[in-house]
Amino acid sequence: MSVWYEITVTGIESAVRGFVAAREAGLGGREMAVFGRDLDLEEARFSQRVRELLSRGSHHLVFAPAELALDLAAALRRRGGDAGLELDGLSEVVRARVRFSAVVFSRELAGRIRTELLAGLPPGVEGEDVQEREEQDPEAREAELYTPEHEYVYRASGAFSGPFPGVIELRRRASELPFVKIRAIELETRPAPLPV
Amino acid sequence: MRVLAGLASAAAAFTAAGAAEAAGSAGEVLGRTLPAWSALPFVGILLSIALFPLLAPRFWHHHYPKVAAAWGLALVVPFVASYGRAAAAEMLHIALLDYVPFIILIGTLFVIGGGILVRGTLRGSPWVNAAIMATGAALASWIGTTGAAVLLIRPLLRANRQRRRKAHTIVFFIFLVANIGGVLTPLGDPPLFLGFLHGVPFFWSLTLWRELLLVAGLVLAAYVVLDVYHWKREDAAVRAPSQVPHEPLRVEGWHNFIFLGGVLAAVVVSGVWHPGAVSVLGVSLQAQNLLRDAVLVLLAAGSLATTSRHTRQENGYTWGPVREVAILFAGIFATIVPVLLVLRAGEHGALGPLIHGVKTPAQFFWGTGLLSSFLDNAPTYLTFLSTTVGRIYPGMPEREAILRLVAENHAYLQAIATGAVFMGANTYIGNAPNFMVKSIAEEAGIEMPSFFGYIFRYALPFLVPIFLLATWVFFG
Repeated sequence: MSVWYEITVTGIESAVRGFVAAREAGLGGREMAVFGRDLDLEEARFSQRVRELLSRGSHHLVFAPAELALDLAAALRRRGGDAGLELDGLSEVVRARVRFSAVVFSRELAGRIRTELLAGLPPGVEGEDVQEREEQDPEAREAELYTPEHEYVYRASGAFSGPFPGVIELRRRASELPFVKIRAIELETRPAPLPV
Repeated sequence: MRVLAGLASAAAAFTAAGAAEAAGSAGEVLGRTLPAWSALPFVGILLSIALFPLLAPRFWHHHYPKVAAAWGLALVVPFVASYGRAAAAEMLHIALLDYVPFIILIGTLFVIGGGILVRGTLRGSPWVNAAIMATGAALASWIGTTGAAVLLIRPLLRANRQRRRKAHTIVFFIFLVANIGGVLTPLGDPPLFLGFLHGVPFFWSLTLWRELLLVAGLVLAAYVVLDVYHWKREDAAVRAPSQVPHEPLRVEGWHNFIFLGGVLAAVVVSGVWHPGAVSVLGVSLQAQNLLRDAVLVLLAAGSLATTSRHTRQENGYTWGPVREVAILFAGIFATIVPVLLVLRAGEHGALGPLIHGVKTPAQFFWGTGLLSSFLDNAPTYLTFLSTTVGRIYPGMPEREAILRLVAENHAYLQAIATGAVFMGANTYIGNAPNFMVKSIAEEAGIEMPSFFGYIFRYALPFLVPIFLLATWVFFG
């Protein structure tokens, strides 16, 4: 599996996205980058928005597989200034981890979580402390007005850790399932030398 | 043992207060004598209904009858022990005049409404959803908010099955069908039926059509704008006209509408025909009310006998909700007795400062509404009705005072009725069907907002501004 890098860039978001898209196209679309904001790794803080409006830009995280990442970093070094962008850092993503939890009240949804999320983990990704629990209360089968209680409750929680692309794939799957809550991705990185 | 000790000490305290009771008109004297803390069991049962489903749902589901009984006994035992026959007479009075007719009506509407099944599947576009909600809001005043919600929630869920963003649709369904739509008749929402039992004319609530039109119209318009926004963000496949023909809508058990007509006729007749009174266990009951209740029971039995079991099963019909209402309202009606007596005593009662604090119709609208947002709206309505009567016509017999209120100070009743019915939509716990709809939607796979999410994402931004506008238009 390809090594992924985290690139820190200062600039205006639209300029970063445009620059990255141009490099992706330059490589024939073989590799695609992922933005930290799209993974909820960066908060869209008010102050950050104001800085953007004032055209001063702010920090952005871009994740990309090795070939694209090194190409991007080199291009940012060489020509980033033309677009008001500055390369601030480059790190290799050693491992990613994301925690999840779910509480659902239908067997159909519980089945979807089992098959679409918990089964068939991407290569290298492992489940950590994954727990599932089903509770059934036949007395709660009726529709209640004042004493709402679900007849069937399925709870699952845990974390997935492993290579970055596998973890973001699981995050994508989880985001498509109702009732599944996902925490921010935690990253273990090590600094990589900046291209000359 | 600890409970018994508590009851004993409460009885002793009541006895001390009871010593001051003088002879005379029992209810009136009781109202002037009872201490403010005699309202504690009432507050306790209302808070239990509001908080247990949020904090300890499983415990509440299995033990709510014990909790209701504990609050009821915490009031009844010391109350009767202290005030003897006068207290027992008040208890019997509220049981026969309020509780029994209330349960019979709610039960009848639920039985008949549960026999009507809407089949078919529609496409959950903004306009179709709005049409379902408008239909539900229009029906709610005639089959009850619970009946209308039970009838239409499943067709709405089926229509929106393919959509990704649908929680807001269920929330607005709660606003319109489970609450706001029920304001036009005493059949629509329990508070209004309690008002009817206490002397508000049946057709009086039809005068609230302007309030309904403004509030429901704006809520529906807000929904359409919001849903069009979400609809445009749905997948193209969801928005495209389906290749598979939709199953047309059809109604099973339609004959139950005839039974509903019977309910309407029985309740209306009981409000305009006065053949005389009969005494039951020393309580004077109007013959037309006894006849009405008998007819309602027969109509419910007729619906049960003539509707297929399969139709009821498909509707998810069970006796559970009726059992809940019967048990919890036994506790509510038992514990509300001293509160109503004290409030009716007006400034002479222990809650005089409360009565002084609420003066204008706008204050009654928001006072009733805010309490109805967090406590059950039926007892809240009754409490504020008694507050108004106690404030404007202290000491006057209740029925006479209410009729004068309708004739001379219409705006107060208007404010209390709309506040209780409309603002039950402000939270999940404001009105009984809210939680039921939430629960059914969650079991159908819809991720509903949390308790606070419902308030902050929907009630505060959408409902509260509309209620402020209604205050300005109608009570300004």
